[in-house]
Amino acid sequence: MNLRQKLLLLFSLTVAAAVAAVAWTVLVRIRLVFEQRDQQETALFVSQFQREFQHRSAEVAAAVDHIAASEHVRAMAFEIVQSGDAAPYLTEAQTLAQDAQLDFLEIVGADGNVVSSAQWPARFGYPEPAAELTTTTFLKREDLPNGASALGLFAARPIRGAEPAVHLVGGKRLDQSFLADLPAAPGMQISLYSDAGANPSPGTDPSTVPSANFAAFDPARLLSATGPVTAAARYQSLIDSARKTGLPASSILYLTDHREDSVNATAIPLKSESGTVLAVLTVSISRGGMVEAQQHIRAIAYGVAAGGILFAIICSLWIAARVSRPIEQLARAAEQVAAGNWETHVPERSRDEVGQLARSFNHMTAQLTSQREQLIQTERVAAWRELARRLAHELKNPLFPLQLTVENLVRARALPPNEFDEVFNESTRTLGMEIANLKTIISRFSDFSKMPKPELEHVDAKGVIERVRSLYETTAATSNPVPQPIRFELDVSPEPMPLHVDPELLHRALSNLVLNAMDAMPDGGTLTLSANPLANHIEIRVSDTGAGLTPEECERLFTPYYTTKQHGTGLGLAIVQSVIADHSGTIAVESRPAGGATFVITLPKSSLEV
Amino acid sequence: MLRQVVISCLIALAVLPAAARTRPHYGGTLRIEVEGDPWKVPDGIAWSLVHDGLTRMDSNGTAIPALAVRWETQNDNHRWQFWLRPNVQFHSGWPLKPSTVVLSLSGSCRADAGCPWTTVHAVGTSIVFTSDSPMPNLPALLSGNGYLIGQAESEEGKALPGSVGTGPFHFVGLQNGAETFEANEGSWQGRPFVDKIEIFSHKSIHDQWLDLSVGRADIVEVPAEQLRVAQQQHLTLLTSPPVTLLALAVADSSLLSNPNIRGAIALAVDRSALSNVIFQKQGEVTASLLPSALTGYSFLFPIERDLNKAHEMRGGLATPALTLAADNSATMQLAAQRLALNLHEAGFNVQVANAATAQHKDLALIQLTLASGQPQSSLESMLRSVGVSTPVIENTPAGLYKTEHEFLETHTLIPLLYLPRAYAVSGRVRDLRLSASGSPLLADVSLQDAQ
Amino acid sequence: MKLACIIAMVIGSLTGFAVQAQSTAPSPWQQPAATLAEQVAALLGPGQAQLTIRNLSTIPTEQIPALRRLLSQELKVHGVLTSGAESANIVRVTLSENARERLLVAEVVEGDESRVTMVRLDPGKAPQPQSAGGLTLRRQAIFTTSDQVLAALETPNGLVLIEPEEIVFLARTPDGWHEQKRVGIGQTRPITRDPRAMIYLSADAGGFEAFTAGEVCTGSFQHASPPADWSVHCRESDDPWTIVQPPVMQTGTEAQAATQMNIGVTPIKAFYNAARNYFTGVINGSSGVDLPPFYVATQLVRSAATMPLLAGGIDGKIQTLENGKLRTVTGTRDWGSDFAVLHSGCGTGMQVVASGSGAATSDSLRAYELPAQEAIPASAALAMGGTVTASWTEPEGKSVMAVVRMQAPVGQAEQYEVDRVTASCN
Repeated sequence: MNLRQKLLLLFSLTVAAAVAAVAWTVLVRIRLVFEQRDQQETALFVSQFQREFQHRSAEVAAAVDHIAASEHVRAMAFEIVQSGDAAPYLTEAQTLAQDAQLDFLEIVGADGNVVSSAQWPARFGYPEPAAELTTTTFLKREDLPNGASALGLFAARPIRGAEPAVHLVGGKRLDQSFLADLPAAPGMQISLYSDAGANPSPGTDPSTVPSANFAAFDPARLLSATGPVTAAARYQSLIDSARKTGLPASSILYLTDHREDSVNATAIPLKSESGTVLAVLTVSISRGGMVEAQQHIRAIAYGVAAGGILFAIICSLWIAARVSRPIEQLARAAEQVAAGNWETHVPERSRDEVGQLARSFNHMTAQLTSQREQLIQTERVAAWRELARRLAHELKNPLFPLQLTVENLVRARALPPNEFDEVFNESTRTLGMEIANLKTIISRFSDFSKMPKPELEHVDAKGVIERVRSLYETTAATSNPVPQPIRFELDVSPEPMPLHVDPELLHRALSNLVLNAMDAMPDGGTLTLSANPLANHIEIRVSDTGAGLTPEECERLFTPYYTTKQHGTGLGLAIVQSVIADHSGTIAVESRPAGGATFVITLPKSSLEV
Repeated sequence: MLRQVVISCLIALAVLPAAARTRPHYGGTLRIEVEGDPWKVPDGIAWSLVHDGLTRMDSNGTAIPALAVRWETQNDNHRWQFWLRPNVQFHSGWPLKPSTVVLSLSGSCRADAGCPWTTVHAVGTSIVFTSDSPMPNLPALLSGNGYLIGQAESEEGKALPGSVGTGPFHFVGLQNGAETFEANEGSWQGRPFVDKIEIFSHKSIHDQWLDLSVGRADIVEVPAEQLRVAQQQHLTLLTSPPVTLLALAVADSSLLSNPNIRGAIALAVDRSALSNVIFQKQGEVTASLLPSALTGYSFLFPIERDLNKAHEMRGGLATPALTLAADNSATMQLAAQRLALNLHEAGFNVQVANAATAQHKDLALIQLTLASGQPQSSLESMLRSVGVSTPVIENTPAGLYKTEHEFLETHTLIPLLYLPRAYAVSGRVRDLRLSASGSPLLADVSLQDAQ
Repeated sequence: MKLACIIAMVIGSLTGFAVQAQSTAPSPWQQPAATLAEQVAALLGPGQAQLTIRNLSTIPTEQIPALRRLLSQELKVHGVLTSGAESANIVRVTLSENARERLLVAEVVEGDESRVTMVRLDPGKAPQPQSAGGLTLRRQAIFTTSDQVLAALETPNGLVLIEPEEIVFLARTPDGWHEQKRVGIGQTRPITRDPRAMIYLSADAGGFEAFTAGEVCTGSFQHASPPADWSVHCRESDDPWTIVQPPVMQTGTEAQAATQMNIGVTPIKAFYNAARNYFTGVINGSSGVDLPPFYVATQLVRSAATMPLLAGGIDGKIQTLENGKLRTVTGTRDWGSDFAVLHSGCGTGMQVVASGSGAATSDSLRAYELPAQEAIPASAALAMGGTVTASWTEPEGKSVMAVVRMQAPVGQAEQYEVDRVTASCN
């Protein structure tokens, strides 16, 4: 990651973090405020609703009171008590209930038995214990014909004027139409959950009713004014809590996976006179509005934050660019300098530290350039001097015998012809050898000075090694005067080892190494040629079992004209190194004294197989 | 002054001419309203207006001549011969012939209980019935609506609608929403007094009483449970003795094939609640097929409810939900609901359904009407109506009791109540009497204001 | 002391006589109890049993103890001893009844088994009406038949009945009435649903004239000859019917009385509308005044000069026609469709006997005085046991004849009874 990116990242992160922290704080705070207000509103609606429910209960009581006070009903009650015959009034309750718009109405005689029932006319003569209840209104599950039952809000009143008293027990159903009549604020849903179970016996202590008798929650039994409640199963925990404890419970319910579909739900248990929970009224107020507002604010906040961050990033980009550009320039310049382009110059635009740095850099490169020139010059001079010295040294060797030979010849002129001929022949022979040596030296020098450009071909390393082996194995076996021949071993991987090289140059390089290895085993040994493919390279090894090399020798081995042999120009390994370098490879030597030496050549693997 | 005026008015009222009762007037249109269908088989009131049987019932329930003037029995009631009344014509003008009678009787045999006879054929001017079993009650049975004589085919052999008879009225058709009948001038019983009878059907009881009160109807129905109300409203009522048996029919299905189960049902019903409350004490609680007024031994069949014994008889046998079918009238549905409640207390789960639409009926609340005033023929007729076609031979009280007892022991029919039939009539209706089965004898009715 | 003994003896004798009278008089329960006991013993066998009796009939409760004693005795005869509550066997006897008869029903309970046996009893008799008022009407049944009777004429040795299609002659014998012959009237018109007829003794008491819708029949008989020899001739006729005829004595010794009664009484005839079953109102001797249509008429004889015609109109009004004037009679609200004059000799000497409401079970005849234009009841209502279908003054005028369609017991056919109603002064 470069400086600009780092700066950019740093600035962006800093701004983003700051913006995020602010946004988060704001959002959390807003949410808390919203939820608080939402809960307050919910509590207000619920209490309004409860008041309305009480009002409806009072309406039921008033309706029953009205019937009980009517002249007709009082006369009927009087007649029932006087005559003891209630049969003529069998259908009276139906008429009265219809007039008063009550769903349930029973006339209960002084003996506590039903005289007339609007909801179950056939139930006359059966006891109705609810007639004795003195509370204003109460909840009851009313049995109906054919095994059905219904929940209702009831009131029981004695009919005045008749002694002993005849009672009326009237009520309205708690069902969908009742719920529909209740005023609901916008976003409010009122629903009723009622158990299908039968009424517990009057007087049963609800605390003694084992919880195991609790009927399992049935989503289908949760009804609103418009029908079954969708996602009723979500209400289970709330309703079960109200049913179990007999106390109101509130909770936020998520009806779907979307937060805007959540509601603030309050479950109000409706209990019978004996305290058994017969039904649970749930008031759900949609949190959609609040959630939407929150989401709206959040969206705005995110937008603003995103915009801010984006702006910050853009600014950061600009700032980073401004700050990093001079440094990058410096870095590039430094790279160029490192690459050898010492004449790199960076602009000096500011007076701050960066400008100071640029000026220093420019000064440095100018110095380097001038020093390099000097150095090059010096090195050139040194190299020429070294070359001249070595050449002189090399040339001196054969020249001295030449000189001696010529001197001998001059002196031999004075000898008899036969001695002169002998000396002449010896001397010409020596002259020829030394001239040949000179020629070799010069040829070598020439070769070294003008290494040909590689002509690349796709070859397989195995083929190259085979060629080298075949060339020198026989020679090693037959021409070596030592009693032990040099054994050639080949360790070449069967895998393809494609190379993109000049096969002649590579052959020459390997030949040099093989010759050096053979020279290192004057007493025989084993020369191992191996080639193995690496990940992206081919590794060629030439190993001998000769005397090995010291570390110092390893250091200087590739220096031109350095040699450990008595004979030789000292350019062989330099040539090998040059060839390998021209093929973008590397050469290294591994050796221990008396442990042999191994030359390791690493060449890039060609992508094309041969 | 005021006192003198009052006294004068009182005197004037006292001396105002008051009309005496006169002989029946001829003429006028009698308007009747009914809740059901007057052509309902078998006891719709229209049938007896248009058709006659070989015999008919007088007001005491005795078979007297109608289209047959006399009859004889031979071979220990295995053979009966009825001589036809001469000079009787159908409304179409076709004379009453033995072949027509045989054709009509053969067509009348009901598929469920069949006919009391095995063969029927004409011999001269008489009709001969023979049977493998004795038919001691044949004259009484022939008076029933099931065996009225109608002209099935015209002279050309074409089929005629089932409303051409020899009765005191002939059916004109549906006019102004009423089934209209006109007096048969040549009726062998004598021309009826009224010129026309209009029967308005499918009228609710409330509407019928309203029409009676405003003079739009002359005869309306009064269900037994509303007799008290009718009396309180000072309607002029004509009430029969208890002639309609309200009973619970128990199907012999797999669910109820166990006689103990049926016995438990019989013990679980509470007749007194039905009688005292639903039917407003107008019914006579009974556990017998025939009423006490006919037999005198009705008390031998216990009417009390025994819930403990019902539980004992039911034992622990689990019964699935039973269906109790009753017709759609409010009273019958209420009675059915009450019975369901009774049975629920005995451990039965009973659902009440409408008889017209119920697919399956385990129990049915039915009404059977006494066919005559004779216990023997009434018992046979009643047993036939519930699918028992064995003739009732016994005519002694002990023998009749034995027959009833044997049948009722199977608990396939549980008698509950005997109810009267009643009608309210307007002031212009005279001489309306009820037959032994409680149906109005309309042919003898005259209208006070007819000219 | 002596007197007390004598009194005690007398009382004792009287009691003894009463007991003897009681014991010798056959009890109506004897035979039924014996039969029932026999049947019970056959079911139960010899042994002990509890005997309970309950009464579900109209038999007076005071008769129950006597029945219990009888039953116990008869059961003992058959080896069944009635005991207290210690016996497991029970004989539960119930007195019951239906519309036709009474029943003695015995349930024999042995353990869980119950068997039933029954014995029939005769039905009881209806209570007699009690008299009240200035005169008392009494009714005597002359003849009863299941055929419809429209009118009847009683002669010293015979009875002539007019039926819808026949005239029947009956002879009086020590055993009752025996039918001698029937003569068809030869009706050509369709018979009506409310057929009517009138029959009058001819002035010489040697024959009769009968009127039915569209037919007139005249008959002649000799008093000494049996009714079988009487002759009758019917012809189709629309002649007016005789609706008022002076009384005719059938025996010569009373002719004078009849003559006195006949002063000023002339036969009145009226035209009959057979289709509508009423008299059109056109009568002879009405001095040109037509009555409104009426069903029945009779002549009141208040004096030689005052003999208004009393007519019952089809509208229910009872009116008198006198001296050409029609006047309404009040107090006739309870009158039925039939009335006739009765020369009782009580009170004003003549009353009008009128039928009541005409209902099947509660029709009655009652005598009324008509001193002015008001009908005043002169007797208690005489229950007739059925519906009065016709009534007329018998030829001598001293009784009223009525035909009553009887409310027969269930299971029996309707009966028509010809009654004579007479009056005795209180």
